[in-house]
Amino acid sequence: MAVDTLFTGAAERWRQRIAERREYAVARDGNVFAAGLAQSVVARSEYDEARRLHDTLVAAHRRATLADLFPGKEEENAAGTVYAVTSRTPLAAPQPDPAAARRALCADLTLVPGIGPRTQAALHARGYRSLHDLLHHPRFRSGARAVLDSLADTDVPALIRTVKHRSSASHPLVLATAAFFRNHELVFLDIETLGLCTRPVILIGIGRLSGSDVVVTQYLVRHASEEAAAVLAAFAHLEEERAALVTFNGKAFDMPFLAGRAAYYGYPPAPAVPHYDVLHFARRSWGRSVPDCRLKTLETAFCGVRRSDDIPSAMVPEFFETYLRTGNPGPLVPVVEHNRIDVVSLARLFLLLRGGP
Amino acid sequence: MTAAGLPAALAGDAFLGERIAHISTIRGREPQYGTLDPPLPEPLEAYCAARGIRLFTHQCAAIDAVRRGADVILTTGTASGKSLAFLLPIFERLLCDPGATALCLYPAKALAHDQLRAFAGLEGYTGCRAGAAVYDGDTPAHRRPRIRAESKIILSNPYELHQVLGWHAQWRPFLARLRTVVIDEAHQYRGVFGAHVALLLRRLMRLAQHYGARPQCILSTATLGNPAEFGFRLIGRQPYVIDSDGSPAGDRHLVLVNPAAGSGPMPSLSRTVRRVLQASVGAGLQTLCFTPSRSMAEAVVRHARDGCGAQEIAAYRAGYLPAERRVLEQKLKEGELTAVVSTNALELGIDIGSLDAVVMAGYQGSMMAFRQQAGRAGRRREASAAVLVASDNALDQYYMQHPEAFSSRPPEHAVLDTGNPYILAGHLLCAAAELPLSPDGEPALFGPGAADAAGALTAAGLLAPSRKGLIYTGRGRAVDACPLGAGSGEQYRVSCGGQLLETLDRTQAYREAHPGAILLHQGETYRVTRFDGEARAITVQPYPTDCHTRVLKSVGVAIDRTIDRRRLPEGTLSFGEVTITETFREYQLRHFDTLLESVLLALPPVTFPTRAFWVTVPGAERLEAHSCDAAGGLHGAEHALIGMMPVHVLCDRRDIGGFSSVWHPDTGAPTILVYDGYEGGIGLAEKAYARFEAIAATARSLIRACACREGCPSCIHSPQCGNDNRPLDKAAALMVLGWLAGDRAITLSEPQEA
Repeated sequence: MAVDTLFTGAAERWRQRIAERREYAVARDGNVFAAGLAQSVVARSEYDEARRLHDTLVAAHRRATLADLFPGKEEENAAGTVYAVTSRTPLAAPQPDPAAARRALCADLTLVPGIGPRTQAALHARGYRSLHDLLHHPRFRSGARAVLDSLADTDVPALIRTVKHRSSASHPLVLATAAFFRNHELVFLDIETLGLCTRPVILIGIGRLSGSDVVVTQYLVRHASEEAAAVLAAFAHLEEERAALVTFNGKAFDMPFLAGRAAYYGYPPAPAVPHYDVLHFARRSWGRSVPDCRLKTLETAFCGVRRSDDIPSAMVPEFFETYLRTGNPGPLVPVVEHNRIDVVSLARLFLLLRGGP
Repeated sequence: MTAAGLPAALAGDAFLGERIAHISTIRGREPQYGTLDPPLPEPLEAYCAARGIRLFTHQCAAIDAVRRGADVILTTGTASGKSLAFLLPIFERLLCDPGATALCLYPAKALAHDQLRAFAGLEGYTGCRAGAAVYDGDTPAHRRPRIRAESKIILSNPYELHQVLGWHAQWRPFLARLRTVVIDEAHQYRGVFGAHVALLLRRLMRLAQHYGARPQCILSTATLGNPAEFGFRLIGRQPYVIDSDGSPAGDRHLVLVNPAAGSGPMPSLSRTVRRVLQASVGAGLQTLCFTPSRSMAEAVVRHARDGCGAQEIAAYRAGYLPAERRVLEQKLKEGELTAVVSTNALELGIDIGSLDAVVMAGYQGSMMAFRQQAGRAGRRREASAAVLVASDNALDQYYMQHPEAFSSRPPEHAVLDTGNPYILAGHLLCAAAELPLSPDGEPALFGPGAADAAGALTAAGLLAPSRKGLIYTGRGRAVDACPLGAGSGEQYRVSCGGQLLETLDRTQAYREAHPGAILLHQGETYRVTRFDGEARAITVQPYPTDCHTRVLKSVGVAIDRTIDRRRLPEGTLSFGEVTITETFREYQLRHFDTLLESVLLALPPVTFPTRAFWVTVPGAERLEAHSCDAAGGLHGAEHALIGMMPVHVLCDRRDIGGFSSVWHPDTGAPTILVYDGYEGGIGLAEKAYARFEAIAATARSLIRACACREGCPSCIHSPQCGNDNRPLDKAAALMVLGWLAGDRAITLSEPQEA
């Protein structure tokens, strides 16, 4: 046998072996024990429904092109071309009240090293009500000065570090610092990927508040070769002056994932901007009142959002693969819609948690 | 008594005395010390001085070579201080360059944990903050970021490294400063597994290069016949070979014991081993005993304890939970245990301090393994003893008849093939998922076949071009699709009263914990009361008994599809897909050697598809016409073909399996079949098919040149034969190979294509 047929044979066997791989298990409905397995699990009814939707979409859009279903435009950047789909959704977003945030931060004496809840109570009793008052305190003067300097400079990263250091990353005062950003400076981000790690990202949704709308720009990777450009396009939003990032579980998932993909292509990670992970604040504020803190649960409970034709996350890769294999964009419809709603719900939940003036 | 007295003690034993086949002594040697110029940095000199360490010549040679920037392979004996030979240069480097990092790979988790103590000892003494840490599958997630960020020395294993490379962005600081890669017990990485590890190391080097580092490799291995060639194949660069051992040794006494000799009914292997062990323990010698199976280890412990009446004997094997193993290791080191009976799990060089004697139940099939095990005795300059008890396998029996052939047998060659298309393609997929792969397949790392493999993978849609190179586009993670080992990953959990006793893989579960089985665990007997194949859960109850169970297995081969076929001088050669079926059909309940009961089992057969080549030869009558044994001829030819495959295919003989029959239903003719021992096949039979004439010719030359009369381990015996090397017929095997090879005569000395 010639060498090339040996390699062709080996590649073909790898193709078959990899095509047979399943990344999730289908369990009968109500089988709660299946969830204990390491692999992700999709309930039988959800699976059947998603497969039916998949086949319906394939049949309905046999002759459609991607541009027919998702009108958008190509963007160029240093890494190549990426396809961007833009949509607007009405979303009332009052501008935040930075003065209120300043007052809240100033009133928390425990931001000063050496002051715990008991010391704070003692200081209150002696008339020290704010950080400004502490400037006259012999021992805490310099600590209070440092925090007030950060406030005066509106140095949000330093303020977040202070709160985190003195308390925790999910403390309401961390969220309060978000009030120092104007609405249009907020960047809402959510990604869809082909797996949990070392796999390509296929869709990056970026939400920006504009007037009374949230504008969602989705960078859709039409082919694996466009992934690097999509990552850089998303990072470009964070490179704007005074940008702040808002995600749902992005500290643990989205941002490390994108950093890994950037490193894969030899690009630096995203610029370090203040990052508000809504999952953490939601857990702290609402954790006791809902069965779980998944985005879907929260948006139903607090924003009244109900999704139709949504598919389990574990099945996103196979819907996307159908498009890659056949060019039929039909199965992308629920994937793109899923991501768009994720971004909009993320923005709604964030605004709810941040609160109005 | 010292170990020097053990041979005489065994000879004086009424039972063992008449079964001793051979006693010999290898005289000890004096140490040869070396000097270093320049000397080691002061803290390391002080460390050596405080511990009374004077460096031997081979340790100095290793340190010199590392200082020169060379890659090194160390092949000196067990307990010659190989670890120190790489520990010292790593620390020397750290003292000069506090940012430098080192990665040490061990084939087993337990080994890494044990070695960590040596690193910690050096750190503590020298005050050098290396933060040496183990990073493996057991490392808790919350400790990982800190180890990555702060540890200068990380100890791990190939399986973990395979998983970790995809996260290289997180490892950037470590990889960018990576100066040294230590590959300990490198001889474990041969054959198919070796090819996987060699390509894994290429991927590591590629990422290190990406971040601007070019680490040196230090390999440590058991004595090999071909260290330079092996080292080159494993790391892709020519290492400097250090093979002259400067460490001292006491006299080593070798005793061969043959249960089959002597008067009366033949005692079992397990019983003979137990007697030797009792004699050794009785003489006050700290003893390590190796057995071929888990159940024999447990049985020897149980009965030896009866004889000694002591709790100082324990079993040790891989199936025990980590905490249990650590306790045993500790007790052994501290001398609380006098004897440990182990399967080969302990062979992996765990530093358990000095032992006086080693008892081996059966020959493991390679001199490499024998020397490793025997080397466990005699760590100091005192006398030591190694006792090999022969099994009734023909290979063992041959050596009992020819002990001089045993003592003079050279160490084996270790081979691996990084050009195996299937394995290479798998690792190129992993590499492309780690960093975009250059379209030429990066041949400087991955070899001359890489471009073709990358092209074929692109054509198959698994790689796709991008501006930065080829990227992986298959489903799931590439490293999951291409696991390093062959293991099915199916683990069965054995529990007693709701508590987990141990975990077994599928074959072990079927063999030792089938319904009704008497399972031995830590010398206690349990009976299997429930076997849930679907949930992979086995329930047992304590069951005190003297009985044991033995499962009977039959192996079948079905030919599913012929992919290619061609004529041989006489006979036909085919290549195709086959299914191997192992059926565990019944078990026997036995009280020692008495059969009490046979019970049929209803376990589903274990089947796996793989690829094979097979030859059919003209009717068996022709052999019988020459008054030959047809089955013995086919069987012997099968062994010789398998024995010569590593030479032409660069695999290990453990990677392949064979089968022969005077009539196979799928061919309707006498058939010899050789298959890849991996699910789905891994390209070995395929390559052998292409080179079959050369393999047959070498096999024939080998048998013809062998001076033995009836077959021996150098020609047609196989160390891994499932039928105890029976039947075999040398003359018939020679005739069969003559038909297959025709007139071509190829001798072993002819250069082989790599």
